[in-house]
Formats: sequence, C-alpha cells, structure tokens
Amino acid sequence: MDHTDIFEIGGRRLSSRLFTGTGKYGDDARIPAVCDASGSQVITVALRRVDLDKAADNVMRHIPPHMTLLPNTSGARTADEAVRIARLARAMGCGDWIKIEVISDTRYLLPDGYETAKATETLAREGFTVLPYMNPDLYVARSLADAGAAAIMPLGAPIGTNRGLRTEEMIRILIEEMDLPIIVDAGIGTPSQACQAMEMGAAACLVNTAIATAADPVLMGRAFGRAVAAGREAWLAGPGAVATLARASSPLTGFLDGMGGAA
Amino acid sequence: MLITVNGSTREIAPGRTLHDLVLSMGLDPSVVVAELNHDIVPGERFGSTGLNAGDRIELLSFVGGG
Repeated sequence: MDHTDIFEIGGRRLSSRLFTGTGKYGDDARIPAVCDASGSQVITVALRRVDLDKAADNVMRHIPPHMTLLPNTSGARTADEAVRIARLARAMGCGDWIKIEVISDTRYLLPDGYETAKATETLAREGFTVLPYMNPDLYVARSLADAGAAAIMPLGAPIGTNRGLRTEEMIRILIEEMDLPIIVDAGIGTPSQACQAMEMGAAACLVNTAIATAADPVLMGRAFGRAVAAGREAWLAGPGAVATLARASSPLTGFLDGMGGAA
Repeated sequence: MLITVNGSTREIAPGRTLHDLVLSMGLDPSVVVAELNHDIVPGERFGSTGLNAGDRIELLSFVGGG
C-alpha cells in the first residue's frame, strides 16, 4: 500500500493502522520481529512495581526505538489511580500518549465509563494524548469526546478472549456517529476480524493477545498487518451495493441462436 | 535508618540518595520511575533526591501489557 493514507493522531503520522501490545509473549525477544513483520508503529506497555526479589528482563529492551509508546493504566480501579499511573508513565520520558483503562470488574475486565471519562478530562487538560478503552456505548463515547479524548477505543469482546467483534453493531454506531477516530481494542482474535473492523470504518485496531499467543507470533503479526491494511483499503475503496436477487455480470443479450442462458 | 520500598521495610545508611538506592538494588535508573511519599521523582532527579528515615518509596518500570 502506498503511504497516501496516513492516520494522524497525537502529533504523529502513522502509515500503519495496527497497534500492537507487549503482554503475554512467551519470549519478549520476539517483539522486534513482530513490530517489523506487522508494520505496527504504536505499541502498548503497562507500569508495575519493580519486583525487588528477582531480576526481571526489561520489556523496553525489546521495543524498537521508532515505535510510539502507548502506556496503559491497567491496574487502576478509579479515575484518580489512572491519573497517578499516567503521570508516572509520562515521567518515564517516553512521550505523553496514554491508554486509559479503569477496571474494577475482575471477571470480564469491563471498563468503567464514568471513571474513564473523569480520568480522560484530567489528563487531556494536562496535555496527554488520551486514548480511553471503553464499552461501545454512544453516550460514554460522547462524554469521552467532550473530555478531550484523541480517539476512543471500544472493545470487540472482553480482554484476552480472542472472541472477535461481538459488539459489532455498537461499534458500527460509534463509527457512524462520532467524529473521533474509533480504534477497536480487545477481543480481536483473528486477522479476518480486524479486517472486518477496518472495512466497517474503524480508524485502527489494537491487537495483543491474538498475536502474542499465536504459535508463531511473527507470522501472525504479519497476517494482522496485511488484514488491517486490506480492510482499510476496502473501506476507502467503497464496497459495492448488496442485493438480494442475482445480477448477471455479463450482458443478457447477444447469445448464440437457440441458447437462452444467463450470466 | 528505615525506609519503605515497594511495601517492604529496608535499612539504609543515612545520607543516601534515591540514585544510590536504585543502584544498590541492581536496577537501571534509566528504566525506573519513582514515587517518594506520593510525589513523582523522574529519573534525572534521582541523584539530587536525598532520602530520610520513614520515607515511602515506590519504584516502578514498564512491563508487558496490551
């Protein structure tokens, strides 16, 4: 694909609309190859207490320098906790993008829309590029837009489930009704599902589990990169009309004598 | 003197900085961010941040996440 289709967000110009993650890799050393094969230019990380009892590999060592870092606020249960994590993440000196996750439900890890909007408002005012993870609800989306979000990130299915675009109709409504970019996050399990989200008009997809837990993460990363690009091209191209009855692809005239067939 | 690091009590010699503490724990200061008594201390201020008895320190770093 040529690079005339650029996704501009947070002061960056992205030629890839696939965002990737760094969680759940059997071996973090695969991450650079996944970035390369998928074409992804944005990658998520989380912030945690250093484990002082055992020396751990640092994930930052495996993230190529050209990647835009998108720290998340996972672990936050309230807006205040998300704001605290976001400020700490910015103090790491890796930019001012933040994916807000405010979750107190431990079974389905569903995001708290009210707390997410509060955190979005505070952090957007502080100059962060705020990408909130959210349930695909139109009113929550509007409150996030009012709060200053740079994009909104509705879930396709619960985090880490690989169950696909279970919320398809609600995401379709967000794409139709919202001016902000819609980045489908969570639940996408296969490239075809990412492609479908892009064909619907999503601005981007964030895929972590489906790539990291594939038997071959590098090959799966490449497949996702291609699927997202293909879906985007299909959206830009404008799909033809859907019909109920068959419509012949060739003229229904000029048949040989004695033949009356069609198509 | 006693301080608390990531919830655990530790004994350190007086006059040490946050930078000293981070190094003494075998950590790379460039990949760590700290909170000292709930105030954020970015890496470039570790060396000028002295520690006092009773300080509560959180040391954090990026880990894998989605």
